[in-house]
Amino acid sequence: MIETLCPPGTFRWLVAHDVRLNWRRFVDVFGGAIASRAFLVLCCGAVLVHAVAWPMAPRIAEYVNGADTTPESRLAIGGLLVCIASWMIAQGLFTSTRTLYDRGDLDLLYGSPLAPRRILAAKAISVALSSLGSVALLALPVANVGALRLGTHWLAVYPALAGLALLATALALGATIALFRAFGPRLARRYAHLAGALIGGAFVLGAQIVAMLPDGVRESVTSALAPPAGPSPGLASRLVWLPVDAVLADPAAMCGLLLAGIVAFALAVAALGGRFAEASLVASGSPSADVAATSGRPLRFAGSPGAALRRKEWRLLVRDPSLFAQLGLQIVYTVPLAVVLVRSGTMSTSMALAPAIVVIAAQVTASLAWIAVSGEDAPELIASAPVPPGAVDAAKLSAIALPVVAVAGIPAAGLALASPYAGLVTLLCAACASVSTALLNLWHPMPGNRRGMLRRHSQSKLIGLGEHLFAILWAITTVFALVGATVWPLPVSLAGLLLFLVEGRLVRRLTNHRLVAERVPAVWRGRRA
Amino acid sequence: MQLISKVPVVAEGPALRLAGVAKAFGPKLAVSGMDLELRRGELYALLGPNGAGKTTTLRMIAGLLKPDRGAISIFGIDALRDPIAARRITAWLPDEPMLYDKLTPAEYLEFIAGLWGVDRHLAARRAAELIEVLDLGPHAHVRCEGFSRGMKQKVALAGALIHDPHLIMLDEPLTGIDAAIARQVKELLNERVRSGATIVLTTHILEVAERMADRIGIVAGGKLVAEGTFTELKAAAGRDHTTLEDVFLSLTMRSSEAA
Repeated sequence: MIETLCPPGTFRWLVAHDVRLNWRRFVDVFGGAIASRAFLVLCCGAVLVHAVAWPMAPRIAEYVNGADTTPESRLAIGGLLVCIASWMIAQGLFTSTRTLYDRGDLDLLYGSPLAPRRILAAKAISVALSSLGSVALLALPVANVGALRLGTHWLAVYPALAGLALLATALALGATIALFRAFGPRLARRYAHLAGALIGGAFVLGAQIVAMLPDGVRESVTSALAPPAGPSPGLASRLVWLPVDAVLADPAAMCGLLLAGIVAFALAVAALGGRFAEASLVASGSPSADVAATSGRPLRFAGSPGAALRRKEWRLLVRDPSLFAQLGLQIVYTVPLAVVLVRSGTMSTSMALAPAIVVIAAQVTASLAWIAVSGEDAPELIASAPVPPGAVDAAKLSAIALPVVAVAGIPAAGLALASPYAGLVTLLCAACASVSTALLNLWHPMPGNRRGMLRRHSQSKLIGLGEHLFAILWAITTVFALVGATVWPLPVSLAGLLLFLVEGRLVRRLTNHRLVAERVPAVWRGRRA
Repeated sequence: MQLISKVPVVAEGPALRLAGVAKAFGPKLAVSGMDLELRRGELYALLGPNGAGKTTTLRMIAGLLKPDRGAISIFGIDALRDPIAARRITAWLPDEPMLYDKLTPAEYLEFIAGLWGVDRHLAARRAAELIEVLDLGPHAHVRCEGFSRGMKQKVALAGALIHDPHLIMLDEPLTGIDAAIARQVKELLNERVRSGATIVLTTHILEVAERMADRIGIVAGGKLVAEGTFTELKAAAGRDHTTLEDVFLSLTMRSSEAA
């Protein structure tokens, strides 16, 4: 059946191959569960997100009303779509760079007699799907609920997002190859990550900056950006507002956006197929930047095993610029939290920064703890060293404490200058949030390549959920403590309970798997094979 | 941090003793009642077909896997009861070099010396020697990420030897590296044996075992089915078998027929 629909060697067959691999990775997220169980989990997840979206759709409908949508609402939708598109481009840059450098089955495919364009087209579909998937999880349930409760025109979100994803993928592929040609294989990956972080972050930050402007200034900015009034806007205006019109179910705009996406995608694949293959060959075995020899300094043998481990962790962190881009992106996407609190009027600007600092501390610690514990490049080496496991863990966690202090501790100290109480509360909650997410990652390692830091949650959604819960609970504690709410012990208790539950799993793991002689999990060893 | 010289090594007796060591992965029995004894200062080669249990045996000796039953003693130290003491005098080199791409060989040696708590002067001297012997000098301050497999293997070997281990375990150390590097590695291993270290290695290159090993152990089905010098193994296999390949195939076939 599948062979009839997708004859071997065709574009559809390559896409089906990628879909199968991605599905198996998805099933592996559930501990290698059988496919039917993973499907059941998927269905439950879909029901849950639709339940969350159920009350949201009518509220959104108050602002969105097809052709009668007010210019202010159209502007808001436009801003949202710009953010979504920038996010998709950033994701596309990350994914296409990863495809180029991490390779996977690229060597095998390019070594086959298949046309490079066809291979790139299939890979680009994966890139587009991953860009779309990251947004679809939030947007499509709302569209589905809207279609059920308010009218089928809500389904216009589907073609609109598909068109945007294809456009974003075409741009991302072009940017990846342009960076590769401009800077060479050694530097292209670094600049692609930086560009992705900047593009993704710039629009989010830009939108927040506009939101924070004084009323008069903001109004003049929004009126300058507002869609032109009148029944027949010009072609340029139609093109600029095409995505908004598409989302608002204008049939011509829907078709236009989708067609533009398909054409851009096809052009990118046709133009870049050969270049992508060439770049792939050049990238093969090409080390990343900074391979050049360090100074021939004399060797420094000093310090305890703990000092050696810390120094190693710091060296590896400092020499990984893409890591900084990924951490920077995490920080940038936390900033809106502070803006929301400032605009709510319940807190001063300085106090509103406090929960954002706590969330950043939790997220950065979680990422660094994962890198140090699960992203260890030579786990067998560490496990075969005459150092007790506890000492290794302590050294690794103390190594990541320094960057966390730099990222969260310094802003908290600055906050203390404005308000010593706020500074103290922030510092305490940030420390608790950091310890919580660090312990979570220490107790439940998810072995993987350190380059895939942002994708680590694909291995365990539960751990990802735990990290977010800790960040939210400690941020809520911060807010409650700062506004003097007496219920602040409630989120603290919940965080403590969560930690207890996580630790309970640890005990089981310890008794079953983590005996001293078996510190290196099988999956950890397996990834090297 | 204790130095190697302070490890309570028993003055006499075998370098390594495995008694009834067994390990299963789920229903699959990887090693079943392995008895093995290595003399001090010998190079011992473990041969066997794929899946025979060679690597699992070495991983248990290195303390990376806990046996389901049995005992492991390294220079008189009970490796299961006191794994840290055992690790101080051992080195483990798997078939895939355990390196950090973003570190240079010099930094890697600094790191390993720190982990094993080697005295700084001693470590500096040994590092210089190893870098010279393995011809790593021109690459000592270049990050490992662009290295060939052979170069990586040499760096990993230097790391394994910097704490001057008494027992060195190597899993397929010569697989996938060119003849020039293989010769350097072999010479270094022979030199270590001459200076008193004990080496146990697994290999699929029978010529390596025939030329280098003092004794050869043949593993099949998770058990040691034959052991001895090449001459002794030939005698055990029968007159018709003149090469190690003949001997190996004859003994492993005999073992699988018996099973």
